[in-house]
Amino acid sequence: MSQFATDLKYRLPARYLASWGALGVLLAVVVAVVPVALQPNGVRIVTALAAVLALASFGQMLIVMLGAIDLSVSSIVIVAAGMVVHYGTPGANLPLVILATLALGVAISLWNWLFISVLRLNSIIVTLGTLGLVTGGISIWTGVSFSESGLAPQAIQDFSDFSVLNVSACFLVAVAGGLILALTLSKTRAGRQVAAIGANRRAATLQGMRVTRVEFAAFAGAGVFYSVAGILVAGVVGTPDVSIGEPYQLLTITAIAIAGTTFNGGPASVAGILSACLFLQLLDQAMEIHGFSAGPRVVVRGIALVLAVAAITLSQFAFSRLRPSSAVPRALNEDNESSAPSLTPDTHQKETS
Amino acid sequence: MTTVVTQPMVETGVVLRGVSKSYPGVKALSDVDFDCRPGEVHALVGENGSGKSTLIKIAAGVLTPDAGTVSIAGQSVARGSIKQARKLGLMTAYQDTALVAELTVEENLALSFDAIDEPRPPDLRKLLRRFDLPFPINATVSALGPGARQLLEVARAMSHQPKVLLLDEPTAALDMRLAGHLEHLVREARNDGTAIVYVSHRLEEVRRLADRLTVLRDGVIRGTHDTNTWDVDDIVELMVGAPTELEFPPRVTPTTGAVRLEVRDFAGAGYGPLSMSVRGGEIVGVAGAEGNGQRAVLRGLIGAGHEAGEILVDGAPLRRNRPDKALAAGISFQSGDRAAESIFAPLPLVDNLTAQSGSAMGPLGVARLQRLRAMFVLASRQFGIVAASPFQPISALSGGNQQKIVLARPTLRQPKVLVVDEPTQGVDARARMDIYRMLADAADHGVAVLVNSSDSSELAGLCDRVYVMSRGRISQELEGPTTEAEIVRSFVSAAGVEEDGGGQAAVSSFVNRALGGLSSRIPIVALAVLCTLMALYTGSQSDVFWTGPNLANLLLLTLPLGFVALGQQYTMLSGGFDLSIGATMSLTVVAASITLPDLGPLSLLRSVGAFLLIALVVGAFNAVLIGLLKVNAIVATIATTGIVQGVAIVLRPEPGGFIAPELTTAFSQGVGFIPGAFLLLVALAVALEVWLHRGRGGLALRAVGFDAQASDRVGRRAVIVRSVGLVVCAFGAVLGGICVASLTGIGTNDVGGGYTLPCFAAVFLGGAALSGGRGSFVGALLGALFLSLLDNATPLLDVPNGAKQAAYGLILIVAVGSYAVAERRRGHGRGR
Repeated sequence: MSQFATDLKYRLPARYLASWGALGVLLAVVVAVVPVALQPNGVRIVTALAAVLALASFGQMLIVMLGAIDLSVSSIVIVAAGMVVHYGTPGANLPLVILATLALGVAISLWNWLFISVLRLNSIIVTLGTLGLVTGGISIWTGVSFSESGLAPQAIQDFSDFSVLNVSACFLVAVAGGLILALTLSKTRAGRQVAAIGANRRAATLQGMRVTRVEFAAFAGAGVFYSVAGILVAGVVGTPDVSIGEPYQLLTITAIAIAGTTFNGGPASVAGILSACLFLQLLDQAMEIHGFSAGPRVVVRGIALVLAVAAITLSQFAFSRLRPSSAVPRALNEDNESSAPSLTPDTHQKETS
Repeated sequence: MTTVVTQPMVETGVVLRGVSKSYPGVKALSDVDFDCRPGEVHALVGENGSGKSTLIKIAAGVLTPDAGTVSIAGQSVARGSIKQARKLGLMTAYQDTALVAELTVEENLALSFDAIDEPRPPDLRKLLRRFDLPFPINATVSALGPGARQLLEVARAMSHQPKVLLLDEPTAALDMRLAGHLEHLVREARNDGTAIVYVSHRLEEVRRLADRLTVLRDGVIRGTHDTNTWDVDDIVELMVGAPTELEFPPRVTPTTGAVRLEVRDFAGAGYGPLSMSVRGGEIVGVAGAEGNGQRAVLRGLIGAGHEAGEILVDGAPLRRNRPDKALAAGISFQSGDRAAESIFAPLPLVDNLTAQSGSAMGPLGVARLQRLRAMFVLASRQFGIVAASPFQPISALSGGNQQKIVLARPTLRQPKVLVVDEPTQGVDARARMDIYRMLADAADHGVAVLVNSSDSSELAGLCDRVYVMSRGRISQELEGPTTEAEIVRSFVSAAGVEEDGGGQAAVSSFVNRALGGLSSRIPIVALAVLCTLMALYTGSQSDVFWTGPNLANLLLLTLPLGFVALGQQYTMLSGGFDLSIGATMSLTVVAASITLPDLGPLSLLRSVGAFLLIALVVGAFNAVLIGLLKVNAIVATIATTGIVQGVAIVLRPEPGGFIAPELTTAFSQGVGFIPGAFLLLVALAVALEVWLHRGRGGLALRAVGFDAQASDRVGRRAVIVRSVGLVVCAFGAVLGGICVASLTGIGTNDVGGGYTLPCFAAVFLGGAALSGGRGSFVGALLGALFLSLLDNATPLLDVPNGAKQAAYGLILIVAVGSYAVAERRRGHGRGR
């Protein structure tokens, strides 16, 4: 095998390709069983909804890479949708409104950062609190339907309805956002440190990385992604209300899990998440068209998640017995090799001796 | 050895025959025969990494040997089972102890008896008095000093009146006075007929105590001495072995290099004050028996756990001692504890290699892959790193290659000072050579190199100078090239340094106990105050609030949340977590709408069966995902949520099916305005609370939540306790669902979802911690009551729904934040 092929094998491990495989299989099934779902209108809807989910998931991905979890996604999505509906009334300065929306999303995410990264509180509790605080706050501030008309600004609606070859403009935004995210994570030093900090925060600290600073940037970035998702979903739906963001809390986590991400912190695949989001929305759409009621759809989604995480876990077991960062590291006792048979050599490994 | 296992020569005690154990790349024990007879102290000595701990762990049942047999008191033990070994009368005192630090001395003792189904002795205080320990029985273990903890560990093992006692370095953390006391206890136990296996570094101590002495080196027994006529030098020679075949890189001791690293009056947790210096081009070693502060000093140099003193690099003092500042000043630290603090296991080699490379990767914060690749190619060629691809995750490499990547990091940066902890831990012989060469190269380039190692031969071969540490201080400085024997002798003979008096521990433990008792009750007190204030305020604003029907309604609405919060609290105490409760509640309501149209006996029977089935299946499914497949608890229970919710929707796509109206009536029956079911809920919470603090199960639950490893070591399997916790949690959700069913009277598939977040809010408000062990059932119930009160009061006060939700969130963050601060204060007070 050439060096290029070997490198490729490691840069795109099987767990990142699983969601693409699933998407491929699903497409084949859809073509055979419910081709209706792939008609122009269907594609437009699936790509638009997948795009919103993907953008929200990119934000969640940054948090998960750091080894935390964000249950307040939905509240930031709601705030963003609410902001553009409430202030984006006809005649308003829309760019300014959008800018303010992004800034507020960043601010809320940084509130999470303050408690999680600086005060070292558990991310689940903090983001659960933020969820209540922000969701409640926005509905006091703007009311349940955000404004009297409840309509998203026409420009945003037009943008969301726009499509290129039946692919929603939202999807193009998601692809662009994903590209920026992927480049940042691979081509900048701070970006590369995100996965390192998530994989082993203590090692990152001891290596002299500026851990809280990188975490600050990651949380701020997550805020931007959530806000963009909220602005776009307002356009897609047209008349959003405070329940608009609710599904994204669990769906982002589901998408990330299907994309082969472990929840112990560490690397993740942007492209894998994009395909996982397409998979989830297409699956939902196809089942709905095929006449599945809500129940089986939810069951199927749950089973997809179980299969994904079980497969990833089992493949990890086969790969390596080490599960770092999940347990509190204990002081090494003597005969270290006995208490922690640290790292089993992989089959690709050629022993030096 | 393939011969049939011969009849054990001794009937009782512990006998190991032909035991072998290996790990990838390392043979820890090969074909070892070892026995210990009743009424003798059999000492086991050997260098670090000789296999002593592996041998102890195999005898204790922690590890299963690859080959060979273990028999305890004449009974053969098949697979490694801690519980079986302990039940047969083999007790172990671990060097790093199997005590749960957050529990009291008394609870730790009780836990040890419970775990092997022995009745607790009626008077633990009296039992412990026999050992004359310098701390009270109700002290929290974390408040004790390391010496006191080690003494407690030994006393606890002895309190079982074991047939066999394994003592792993029992005196490592003891001062002379306590060590003397321990020797006395060991003699007494021997005279009572206990077979005692005694692992120690300190040969003088061994001479006083041991009836027999066995030397282990590289996993092979090198000889057993029957009397105490041996000579220390002979034993050291046996421990060290023939001069190693390893060749160390030739070193020319520099005499003129300037001092690059200087440390003055340096102190921190577990070490100091001490001063040391390293010249450019010099390799200086730090030696000492395990646990004498060597590791802490090295980390203190880069600002992790450093409290006082000065660091100078090339004569310039370090202003703010923080890892990133230390790196900027030119100190590179690399640790051999790779999994915990050195490597990024899932990340590619090239990322691991360039962790400290900084601006060498590219301008303006950019990391150019081309440069990264070039660095990798250079480093792998220079140091002989064998890897298929720079993008391979580092976890796929052998220990030796991993360590080479780790030690290649500083070469890409050219630091002034290189600090390395355990450079060759878990590394094969060939890679060792390369690593020694790397360190020598660094020194040849003028870097000041400071190395801590538990392998004395390595220090002898590599270092120009060696500091020997004992109890956190430098006890000796070995100038010039030294020998392994000289280093080993310097610490096997190290006399104890007088520890700060024991009185301090007692005082601080008293203060901490008072604080500890307070801090665990803060949530309950805070919630009670909040509830009272809320009720008084609402009552003053609304005439309806204090009426019987409203209060009855409030309590009825508390029921579902109360039951589900109790269940969640249970699983969180064990360190678990369950997001699927909402779906389970929905499914229960749906099931009730199918099986419970009336309260006839058949319907009841059918319903109880259905409810139990739901709880068992959901709980077991979660337990399999989390305990067996090791799926992250959040992801696992989200998946379960999907499936359970889906089943509920399938069974009842639309609201429908009547739930016996008598159920509603039954729930509202009670004393005055208080529904009977609420009284039941309160009784259950109180009973669980008492059980948690008085019962065996409650103790086990807390022990597992606080410290799963310690719990496993006394024979209480953490994974089982946690699985049970998940089933109990599902059961709580089912009970909550029944209460919801009584409120709705109709089968709907989404009524439970709304309870998920309030359930977590309730238990967190009640003082639960996600890390496990902490929390209170009464607190969780009060949390549920408080949230229901908010629910009840908001319409009476004309407060919009959003404000209620926002208040939820704010209270949660503020409460949990302040609990955490209080907890941290307490932790600080302990001086850990």
